[in-house]
Amino acid sequence: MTWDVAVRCAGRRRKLPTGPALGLAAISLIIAGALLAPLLTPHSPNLPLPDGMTPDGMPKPPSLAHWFGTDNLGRSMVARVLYGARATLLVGVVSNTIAVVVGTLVGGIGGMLEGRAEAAVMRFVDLMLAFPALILAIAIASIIGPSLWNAALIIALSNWTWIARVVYTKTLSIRERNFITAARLLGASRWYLFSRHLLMHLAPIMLVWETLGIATTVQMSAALSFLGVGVQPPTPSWGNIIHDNQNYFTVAPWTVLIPGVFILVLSLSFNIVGEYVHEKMEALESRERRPETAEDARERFGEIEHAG
Amino acid sequence: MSEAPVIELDHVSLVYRAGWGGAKSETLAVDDVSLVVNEGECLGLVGGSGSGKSTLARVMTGQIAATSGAVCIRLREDAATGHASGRRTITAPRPRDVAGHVGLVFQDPYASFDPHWTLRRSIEEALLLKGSSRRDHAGRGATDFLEMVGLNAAFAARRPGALSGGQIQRAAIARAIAINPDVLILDEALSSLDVSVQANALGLLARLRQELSLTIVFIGHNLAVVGAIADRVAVMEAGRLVEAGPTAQLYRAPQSDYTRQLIRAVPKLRHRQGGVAA
Repeated sequence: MTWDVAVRCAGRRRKLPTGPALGLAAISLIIAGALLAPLLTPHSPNLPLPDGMTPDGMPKPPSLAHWFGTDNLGRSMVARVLYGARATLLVGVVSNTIAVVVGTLVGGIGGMLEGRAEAAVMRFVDLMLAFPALILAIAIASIIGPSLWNAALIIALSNWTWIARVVYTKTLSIRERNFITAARLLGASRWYLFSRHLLMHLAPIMLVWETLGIATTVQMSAALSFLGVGVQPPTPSWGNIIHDNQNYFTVAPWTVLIPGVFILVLSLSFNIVGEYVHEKMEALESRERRPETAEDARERFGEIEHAG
Repeated sequence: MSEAPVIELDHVSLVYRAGWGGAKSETLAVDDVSLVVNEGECLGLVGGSGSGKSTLARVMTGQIAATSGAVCIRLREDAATGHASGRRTITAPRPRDVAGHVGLVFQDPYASFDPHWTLRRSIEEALLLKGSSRRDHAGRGATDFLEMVGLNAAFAARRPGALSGGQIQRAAIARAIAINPDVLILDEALSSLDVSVQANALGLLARLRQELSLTIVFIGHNLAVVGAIADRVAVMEAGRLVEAGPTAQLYRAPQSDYTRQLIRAVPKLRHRQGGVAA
């Protein structure tokens, strides 16, 4: 896939299928909600509302005054969810980006190496893959301590391995292609081949993982926050909202269900959009070797006439 | 044509090994081949599919190490190395040893170019990797080399996907000669082209060979096409070299049954009433 092809395709006015269109709309709305949170709600996410609790000290259910109700401390759930989207998205996007960069570098370099060096790099990746991601994340969190940025780092450290595996496999197929052999015969180093040729060919995979992977990292971010080793209170995140309110699930289910639904919608949306990007990238890649067109045939005919 | 050998293969064999343990298998791809490519000559390497021609080319360029036998390649000294002598001899070459000295043109020219790059960038890459400039020692740039193969400057801005089979193969030849190679290896380079474009490309190669004093290893399965350009022809069958000799002599008096079979397989045109039959 060349960038000019991508731009040309982007320029064509094609209707987006319903699924990806809805996914994109949901992601856009959530991002807009996170960015415009101070404009969308007058309430602080951390301060209890004067009328935030029922007379018997329970969270208030959703109403016209408080659309999403209030939480266990009488804080506005709208404010908590909108501000919580910031931390959730930030951790999801940052950790996924780190994972994509590290995975691409390790998988790509592993694929360009040969013999024992290649085996050593990939066995290390396999070793990392063997650890259950969440257990590994909890273990790292217990060592470096829980915080928003540490959560991003922890999730990246436990997610890059899958990307490295996929990139490695792709690199193996690219490195056997003749244009790599041609450059090798001209004296191109491995780093030259990786940086000048391979990265462009890996860009579609990176783009797919950048969208598809966020679904996983958002869920993991929520899971870590829920377990208390992710984003720390008072900073709200969808995961720690559920964690804080889990004891009220039976009496105030909205405090858990609303952030849960947001996690589900965001993950699902990134999944659907990611799948769509994947399909498009594959279609663009297969178009690189297009069949001969009528114009080609005319040019070829010109050659024949010239030869004759 | 001088008689100085550029490539020498002495009893070269190559075994591909696959699998491990009980599932281990071995394939003898090249079997005791001895061959010399002299400076300025065009050696044709002919044989059917799987006869080991391309594998032999990969052994010559150091892409695969021979399992046994000796591979020797004599390369021109670069001005940059500061060596006064004309040639340096490399035994058991590795790709980095022959880097920039061997031009390789592949059967699938589309696959031999990065589809993201324009022809200008691909040819300039060759020049940059060979030296440190986008122009060669004679000041020729990408468009000059494209013009040498009959493609005008407008093609420099095109990507491989926007060229026809004949055009992209010409561009591949332009890139290969841009590095002023000691040896130009054409691995089934014309096999995928139709006969008219093949004839055109053969004419181009013959002209370039004369103009640039190229040493060529021309690999193909069609004896007629190989014979049209090669001074000598080597015939391979199942990894073995069954016969080698001057082209005219090999055509006139083939020694092996396989060569006779290949010669008989060359399509001949004869007129008959109402049409042409092969």
